[in-house]
Amino acid sequence: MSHWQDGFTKQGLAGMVERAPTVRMSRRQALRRSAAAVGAVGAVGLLDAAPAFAHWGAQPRPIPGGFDENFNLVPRHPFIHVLPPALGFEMSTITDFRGRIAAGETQGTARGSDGTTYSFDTDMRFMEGTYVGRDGRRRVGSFGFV
Amino acid sequence: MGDLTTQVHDFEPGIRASGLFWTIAMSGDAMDGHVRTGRARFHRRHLAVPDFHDFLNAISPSPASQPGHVSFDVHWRGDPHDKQWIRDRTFGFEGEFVPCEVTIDFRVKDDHSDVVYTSVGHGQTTVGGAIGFERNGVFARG
Repeated sequence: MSHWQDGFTKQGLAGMVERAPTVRMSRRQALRRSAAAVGAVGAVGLLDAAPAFAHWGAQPRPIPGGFDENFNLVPRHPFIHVLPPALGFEMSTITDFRGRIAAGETQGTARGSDGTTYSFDTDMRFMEGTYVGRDGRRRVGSFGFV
Repeated sequence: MGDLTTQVHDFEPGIRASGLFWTIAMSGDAMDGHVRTGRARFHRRHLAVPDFHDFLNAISPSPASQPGHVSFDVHWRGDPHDKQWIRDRTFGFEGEFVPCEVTIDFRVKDDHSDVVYTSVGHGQTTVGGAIGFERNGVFARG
């Protein structure tokens, strides 16, 4: 879930209904643009913030494909293990998986309770079904991509 | 296309050491849907999700974040007659998929701020979206 502040609110015109369309950017576009800024970073964002996987072995494995350091789509050894949420792409983020999936990227407008207006871009997905955990055991689980 | 430096919030659960990307285990009652109906829903209230501020920070080697909470209700709507069978041997997945329009209602908030951000229902645009039943990895037949 992402927000981009629009031009009008940056200029202090909070509460303006009309938005500046030039500040919109999809996550995919952001990926492409950020490639130049980030460069070839080898180990990215190794954050273990999510407490939901209490048992290590129950964790799913990431898909083998994704974006490489230049943000091209690659089937192996990616920079980040995610592909676009659209028909024709691998939308799951977990591998060794069989089940239901829904994915979508949506853009629109959000408003702050302080009267500001923003453009947003969300990539939301879920996966539910059978998967093989990191311990090699077959399990049933539900996963959200937020 | 806008300037990435104008991004002010980026709510996501982070990247795990395994490389698992922005994916967390969730209760099955948060999600429902089926290719047969062309409909799906994903919803959750008051889920603890950090705010990484912007995408560049989020994928950096040492991302900073602050605690936040999100509530969301996502709907997928498609025509099951548009169902497609896809097999991609390069990326190793296969399944049947229905292209969908995707709309979202959300409320997000940093825990250290009083400001609540709420999506506007009208004027949303689907960049891409689908529901499906898929197999990948060891389950792919391809």
